[in-house]
Amino acid sequence: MRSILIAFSEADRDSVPSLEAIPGVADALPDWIRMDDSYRPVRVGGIGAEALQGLPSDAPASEAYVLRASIDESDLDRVPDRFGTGRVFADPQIVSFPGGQGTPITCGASPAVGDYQDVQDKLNVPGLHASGATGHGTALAIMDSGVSESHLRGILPSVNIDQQVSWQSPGHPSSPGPGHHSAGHGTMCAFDALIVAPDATVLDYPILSSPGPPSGTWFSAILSNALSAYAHLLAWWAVAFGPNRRRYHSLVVSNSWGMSDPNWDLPPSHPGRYQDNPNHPFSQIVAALASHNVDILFSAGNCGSHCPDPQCGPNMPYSITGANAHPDVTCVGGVDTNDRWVGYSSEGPAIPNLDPDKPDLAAYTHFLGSMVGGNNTPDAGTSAACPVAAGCVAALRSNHSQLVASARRMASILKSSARKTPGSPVGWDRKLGYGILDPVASDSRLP
Amino acid sequence: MTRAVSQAVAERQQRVLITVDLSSDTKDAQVAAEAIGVPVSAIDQDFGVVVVNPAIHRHAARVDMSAFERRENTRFAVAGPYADPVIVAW
Repeated sequence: MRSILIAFSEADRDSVPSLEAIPGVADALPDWIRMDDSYRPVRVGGIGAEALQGLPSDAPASEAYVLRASIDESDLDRVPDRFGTGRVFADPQIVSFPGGQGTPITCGASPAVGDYQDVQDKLNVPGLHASGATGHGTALAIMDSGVSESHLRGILPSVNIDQQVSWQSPGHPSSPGPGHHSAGHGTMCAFDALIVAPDATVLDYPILSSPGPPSGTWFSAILSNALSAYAHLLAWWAVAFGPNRRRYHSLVVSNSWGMSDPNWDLPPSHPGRYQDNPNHPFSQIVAALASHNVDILFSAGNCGSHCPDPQCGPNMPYSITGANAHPDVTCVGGVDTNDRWVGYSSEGPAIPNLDPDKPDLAAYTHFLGSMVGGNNTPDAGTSAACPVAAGCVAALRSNHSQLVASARRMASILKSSARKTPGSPVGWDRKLGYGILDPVASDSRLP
Repeated sequence: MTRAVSQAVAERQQRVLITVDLSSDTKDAQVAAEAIGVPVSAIDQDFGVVVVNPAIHRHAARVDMSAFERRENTRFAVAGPYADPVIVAW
């Protein structure tokens, strides 16, 4: 059954329009056209008499009414372009963008869309594990606010945290140690990675645990914290990966943080600013770590145009900046478990001077998972999407270590095997990058 | 940005990051201070001196902006000052 619209230009404008009120309709229509009586004729295209009041007398006074009818699919080929005085138009199916579920785009305050088991199903985690991709032998650095091992053990069957890799925030030597932080943002990130890579070993880098600016509930710090942590990780990796000391065959680094307001940086004309500077020391250390075939993932940010997080700066011309836009990292945007872009996920292109084609891809977020914020609070933000993607990479590294597949090769295959959503453009897309991460497809393409 | 955050950001921008290429991977603040050309007291001792790129012995230090003076340095490659902005969890 197909719906069509029939527009009539002549009608009795003094009466309520109906099929009977429009001259010649009944005579003009063949019997295989079924008028839809539930659709009240709509006046379109012209200017009604009442609207003409006060306008010049030569203003157009055309009038058109649209009615709806239905036909069988088999009659499509014989539909003429008009029935009598009535012109025929298509009445195609329409869907909401991009997924067609007819529900609002997911925003920060939206309820959870599915749970972590839905995420595992969407990613075909059982299939991934059946192939051996579990995270075994992979170190997974969580650069965040610190991890609560006890919280994770309350939900997950097994949790591995390397107690020998201990970094402390500069000036705050009283850190509780790896895995002994209170449950919060970092625990969420670890959880979201481990639902895909349960056998990976977590390296706990609490870069956001030091006191930041007065900021309410968000975790914050200064960039030099991250620089210090990366320097520690770089030195540790050189030792851990050295000859005869290979405790791990691969290292994945998950970063769910960024600079959300460009005004926190040095002024635009300053050569030492961070957000668009490949020579900034942090950009340099990211490049140095990546050159050791370490997989580095960053969240895209929560400054998407539909419903940006309140902490985003005003009038941001680019919402993906700094290391999040570094050419050597994989930048991860967010989709909900209905495969729909979440309205807060930062969009590309990224800031000039770095890699404009960010985000690289999208992963799942806004699902019930770690419960660090309460039983009904979703793991949300691109903060959750990034570790989900990092967990996928950590799992894949069990089958394809950095010895056989470089970080650059891994990133390339993640993008080329990403899944496009219906209606998304070919190639790179400003919201979802190259598509939604598909680790099973990546597994089959990696060497 | 709230006034309190603005103030915190401004205070943090009093300290900046400086890179310097040394001849080895030393992490000694005294050596770094001399190479950069600032008194050692201007080096943030908590942050210390970290290796940014071991391949070229590039180090970074956190330095009081007021103590740093851009000048020709023929012995060591010094670059900066670079921003040390606030970062937040997404």
